[in-house]
Amino acid sequence: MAKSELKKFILYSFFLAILILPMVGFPSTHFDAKRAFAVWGVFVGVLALGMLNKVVRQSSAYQNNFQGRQPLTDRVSTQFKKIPARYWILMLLAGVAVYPLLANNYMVDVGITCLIYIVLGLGLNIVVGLAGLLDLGYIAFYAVGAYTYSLLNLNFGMSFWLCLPIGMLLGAVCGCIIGYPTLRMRGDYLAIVTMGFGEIIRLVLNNWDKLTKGPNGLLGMAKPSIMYPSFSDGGLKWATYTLKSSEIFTFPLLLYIPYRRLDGHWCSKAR
Amino acid sequence: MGNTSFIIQQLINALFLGSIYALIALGYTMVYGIIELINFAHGELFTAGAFIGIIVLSALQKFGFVETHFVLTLFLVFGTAMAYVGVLGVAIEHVAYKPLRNASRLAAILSALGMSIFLSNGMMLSQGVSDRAYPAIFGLKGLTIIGARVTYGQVFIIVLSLVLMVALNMFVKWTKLGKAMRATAQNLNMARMLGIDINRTIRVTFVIGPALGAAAGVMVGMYYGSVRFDMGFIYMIKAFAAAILGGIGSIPGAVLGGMIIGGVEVLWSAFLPSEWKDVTTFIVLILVLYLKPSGILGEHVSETRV
Repeated sequence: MAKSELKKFILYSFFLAILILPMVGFPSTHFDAKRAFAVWGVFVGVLALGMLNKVVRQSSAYQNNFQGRQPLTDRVSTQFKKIPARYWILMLLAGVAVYPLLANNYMVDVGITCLIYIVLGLGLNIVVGLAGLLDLGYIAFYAVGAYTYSLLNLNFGMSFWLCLPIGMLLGAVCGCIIGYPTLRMRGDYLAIVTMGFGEIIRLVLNNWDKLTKGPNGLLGMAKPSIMYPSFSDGGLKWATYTLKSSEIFTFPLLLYIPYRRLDGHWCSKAR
Repeated sequence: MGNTSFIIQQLINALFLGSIYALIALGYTMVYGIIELINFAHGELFTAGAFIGIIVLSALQKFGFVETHFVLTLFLVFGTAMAYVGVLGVAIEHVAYKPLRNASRLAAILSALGMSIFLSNGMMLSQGVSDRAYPAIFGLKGLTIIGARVTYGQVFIIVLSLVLMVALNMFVKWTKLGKAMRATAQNLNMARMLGIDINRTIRVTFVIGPALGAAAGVMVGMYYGSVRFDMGFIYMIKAFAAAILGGIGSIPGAVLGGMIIGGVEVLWSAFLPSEWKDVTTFIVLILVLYLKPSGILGEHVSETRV
């Protein structure tokens, strides 16, 4: 067993050498051996660890001693599952409420990025997860929302709270526009068409210089604020609270969806 | 005189660009025909070919090899790039696609996307974020056809891509391995039952398809004079449009689709604002998928495939 793995290891590291050495070793016209062999060494090391793991797991000593036992991750997760869900939710809410008060500005910034990704992930989960439609142009709607707010705020001075529903509406309209022609197809074709639509929106935003200022982007829109006038210092913290509360309101809705009538329509397509 | 020569010039440009798209689209069509997976990493394989071409070419130029043995240089550059990318293609297949052959389609597509991101970032880290300049070896000399100028580089690229396409067609039609590939494309399980080594056939496909893409990459680098780590994406999506337009799985279809996409792009940028040419390509793709999902030369596509 171990012998064939060793043979495989030598073959694989040879192929890795073919693939890595020329590409990494020639950042310019002369060969940078140190860099090339360092990268190759890392890859071969990871490969060796993987192979070692495999050999150990297949060895008779391991099989005799550890075969019947549950993996550590399973044991830990069964312990955690004993705590009811409501305590988890309470703990999460408490953490969410306290976090912006304790963290510094950078950490709050990171937290906001995480929350934005959570919102994006929730949306993508509906399309890809529940409906089973691989939508690679999903990020186009993100751009639609961002440009809606920026343009409305810069040109008409509209506030964030007014633009939020408008942006959502426009995103939904764009979704319908894209969905109407594409939902006839499925799987790979849908993936590539939505990717094409995403590219179209990116190219339009990039090339429509008069409206969007092209690749330079838009600057100077007002930061969202809860009270009037805007918080100059605490704005970041309030933004986290806003995002969190919006998520807290949307989560139950999303959990509710799979059990309702729509589920039949969406999930039948996925299966 | 002025008008005709302009149109002929544009047609030659379209032929040039179309043959490059066709070469990339062939790799797509072959892989999709056999394992029904969009090889998203194909664009990165194309870029890798261009980078290997630049590495070999600048190394040869350093030793003054290009001036003395011009034809041998071309052979070496294209040969090395195609061989390297062939190995890379097999490696990708082994790492990212083979374990997922019986998994859901979504998993395989996501694996392909991940491979594409991995390769593109790997090239960014190893070759740098800025453009790398290709050594100009063809110069600006050329011939004039009815008032339109064609450089020798363009002629060489068009001829080489035609040769590669014909060679591929002959390989698929007349050799035993080509026959095995066609059988596998028709029905993988049946081919396996009849004693065809499926793994070997898929591996050969993953050598040939990416190798053609690499040739296209070297051509693009030689013609446009620069290579960038993320240039593969736009070519990938256009070549995919070409493959679908011609009917995915069909080799003549990929060539025809590539020529059409190249023609649309060149003629659009000749007469209309050129910054919107990519948008036009995508709109052509969407229209084709909407009106005739099986493509021009493709056979009827079953419900499961679409």
